[in-house]
Amino acid sequence: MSDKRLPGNTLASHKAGRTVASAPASIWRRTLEHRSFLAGSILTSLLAGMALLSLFWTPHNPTRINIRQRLASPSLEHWLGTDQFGRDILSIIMTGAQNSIMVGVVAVGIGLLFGVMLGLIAASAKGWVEELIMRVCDFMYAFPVILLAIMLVATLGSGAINAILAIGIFAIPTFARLARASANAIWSREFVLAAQAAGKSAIRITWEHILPNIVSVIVVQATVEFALAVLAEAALSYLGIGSQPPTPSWGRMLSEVQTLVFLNPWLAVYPGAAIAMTVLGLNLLGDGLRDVLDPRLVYKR
Amino acid sequence: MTLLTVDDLSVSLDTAQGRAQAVRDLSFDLGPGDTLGIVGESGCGKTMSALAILGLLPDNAVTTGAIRLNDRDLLNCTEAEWCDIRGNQIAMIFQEPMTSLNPVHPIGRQIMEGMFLHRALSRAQALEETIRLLETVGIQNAAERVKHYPHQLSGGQRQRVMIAIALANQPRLLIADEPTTAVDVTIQKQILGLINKLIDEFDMGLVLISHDLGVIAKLVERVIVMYGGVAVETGSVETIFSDPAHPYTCGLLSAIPRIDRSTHSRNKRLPTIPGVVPDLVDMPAGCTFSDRCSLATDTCRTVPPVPVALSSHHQVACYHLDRARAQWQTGPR
Amino acid sequence: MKFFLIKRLSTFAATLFAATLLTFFALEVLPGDPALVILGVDAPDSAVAALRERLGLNRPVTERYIDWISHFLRGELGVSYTYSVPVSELLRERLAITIPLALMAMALSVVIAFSLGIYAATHHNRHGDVLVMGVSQLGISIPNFWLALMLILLFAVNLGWFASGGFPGWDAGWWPALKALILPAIALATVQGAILARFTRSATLETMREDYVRTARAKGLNRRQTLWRHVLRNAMISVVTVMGLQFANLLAGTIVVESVFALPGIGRLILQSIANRDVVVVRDIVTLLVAMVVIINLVVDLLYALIDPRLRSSDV
Repeated sequence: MSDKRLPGNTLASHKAGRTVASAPASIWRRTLEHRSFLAGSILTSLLAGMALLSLFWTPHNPTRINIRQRLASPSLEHWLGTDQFGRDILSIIMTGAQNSIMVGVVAVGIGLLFGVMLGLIAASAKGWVEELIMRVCDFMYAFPVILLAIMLVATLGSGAINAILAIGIFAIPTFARLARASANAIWSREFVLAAQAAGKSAIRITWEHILPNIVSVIVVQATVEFALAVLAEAALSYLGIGSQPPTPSWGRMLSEVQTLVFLNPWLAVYPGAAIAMTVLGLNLLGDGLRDVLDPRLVYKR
Repeated sequence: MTLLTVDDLSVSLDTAQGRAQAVRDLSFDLGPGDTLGIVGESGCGKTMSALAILGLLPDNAVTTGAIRLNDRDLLNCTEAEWCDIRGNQIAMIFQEPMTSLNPVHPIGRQIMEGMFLHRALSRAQALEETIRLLETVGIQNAAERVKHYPHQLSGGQRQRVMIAIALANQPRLLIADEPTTAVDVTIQKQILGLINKLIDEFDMGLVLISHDLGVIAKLVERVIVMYGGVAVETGSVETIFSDPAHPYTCGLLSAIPRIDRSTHSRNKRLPTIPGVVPDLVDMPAGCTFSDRCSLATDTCRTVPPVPVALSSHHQVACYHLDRARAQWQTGPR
Repeated sequence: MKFFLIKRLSTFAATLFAATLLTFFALEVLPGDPALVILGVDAPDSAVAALRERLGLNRPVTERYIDWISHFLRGELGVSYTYSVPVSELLRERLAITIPLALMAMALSVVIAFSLGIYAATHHNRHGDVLVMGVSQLGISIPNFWLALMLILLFAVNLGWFASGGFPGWDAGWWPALKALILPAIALATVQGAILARFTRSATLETMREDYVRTARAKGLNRRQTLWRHVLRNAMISVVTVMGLQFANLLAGTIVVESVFALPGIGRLILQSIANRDVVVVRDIVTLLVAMVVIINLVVDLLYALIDPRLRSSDV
């Protein structure tokens, strides 16, 4: 049966009850969809730009202590004021971005690499291998990222590396499940069956056919996981089991200022806002990407 | 007194791509106990017409014209009034029996829900009636089955349950939207037979929607052929099948595979209508069929044809109906 | 159904077993000598050796595992290195704060999620929907400990309605104790609620598109009746599953939030124990928390089977 669905028009579909967006709301929705992607990209670029810039230049040296100017209000010299040691807050925030990005990239990288690999293996091998991998993934879901981090820290000590490891390991089952589900959908497509019949090995098929088709779904998930990684790193640093001094970290900033929050509440607002905006940007980007790289387009290939 | 009057019904939808004209100037009458078939391809507006009669169009639909049930104006009804009519005076059965029933409620409860909505019954009375209804639609072991969940029934059985739900309050009018499309051919025959029997038994009017001419022919007295939201030809079943006067109808009829074709055409390909149904947002300014019609002229493409009455029960909207008619009588059939 | 139960329970047991294995052996890798930690670096070797013997640290690993597990299951959790108090006592004290907090947060997040999610779904593509989506997007981006700090700033420091931290103990009375948990619960519930709200919204929207909803309207049910009798129950099936998964996040959240509010709950205990390298406590708490997560997931799955008759019937 030929697909009578006309582009962008659900009328021809026999599902009579389906609502089609009314004109004003649909314009809203379209700008919102694009706005998601737009806003997300802007915020994320801001973050990346800040981190990049801070590699070369910050308004002040973030580690320079200047007790005489401690807890200063925002001024022309210190745009966001100074902390309890007289360090320029803006500079610290900018350098903190480096940390968040690094953790995000490495942790998501670990999760993505191992997760997608496991998922692809599960989808191509099927049978007990698939079962086993999926059981292990289910099992890993019982360990929230903080617990994982706690265990790692308890055994290996505090530090950014262990935080990254914990976050990365935590991300593996998510990627594995996603990769497996998407891969399974592609495996059952006819062109793959044809390739199999022609004698192509599973590895080649995975590399040539499956992988390109699941890339967009993985990319979207990676953005979302990045956001989660930033949040998790912040939480771990806040608890003191993540990045250690002197590496600037937004999470740790928050724990340091907790006692001072009565004196100058803004000290707590900035790092938190930085985290929130970064995560928001990444989430929006992920949402926007999901709409832009519409999975339907992937499956149509 | 007519049961249902549809007068110049037009339905348009505001979509992201623009305004789509789903139904244009549809008119027909239905007397009590009459049967009408609406036939056409997907996207021709038949389902939209049916939903309009029940007031179940999507929120962005704009409806003009008039629909009257026993002289009662339906289009200006409030939601509460509609809820009173639906499932009570007008009932509808849909195409997908596999998904049209709520999987977490037993089928008996789904039938009784309709009863409790519109009538004052005790549980015992409703249960009794439900069991009887199930037997009427041909479900064995009705007393047992009443407690079953939809997933415990086959597709054909679920469609029977849908029919039972529709009949629960003995409606005056039954609308059946492609009731057999999603069912096996063998079950199809049973379901159609059942509907036939029931409309006689309950003396209901029937509007049967289908893309399948064979299904239409078995069950209804009159047919409306729709294309692109417009009724291109209206007539009795006999007239439509023996003396079609619209190129689209002719095209539909010649695409029916038949065993008894003459030898010289047996080895030829089944005739098809070239082209595809245009996007409803992008309809030709004139006759909706003009860009696929072999007889189309410039007038056809620019000015929509007005329906012409060939006889008291045969109407066609085409500038070239004579040629179409003639072609059908002489051409390969 | 029986088959489903058996399968599910065996998965449960296997997961639990594997979790205990993991926690036990992971902490075995710990460098350093627990006996040294207890006695202090300057302790004489003989004392350290004696303590090691007493604590059974010289026995083979497998033997110690079995020993530990059998005691754990009986509720005998050993004695903490740092506090020299039975771990079970410690846990009981701390759980008396963490569990009520988690429950409050869960209840609050459900209220937030359901009301926002269903509201958004029934006002789909209109301003209400967009607003809810925007707010929830913000909600999932805020770190819960930062929200906690902001809440303290606003409600404790500025308005003075609540204390800025600490827990008076249940002996001080119902209300003062609960009052101390309100702000922490809000901090936790906001983030969880936002996540759940989005999910509720999409589950409800999806269910509203189902064919049987159209059948319900065709029967004469109005929108409200359709929503309550047909949409919500089916949508809740998938929402309940997610809630179970969310519980793990909730527990993790309590660890952080307890720190902000200086609540003497499980979270703080585990952090302090890590700092003190009190392996016994860490191991037991982690196992306990993981066990709680696994049990909750089991409960959720069983609930799911209860709600969805397709899983109950033997004809499936």
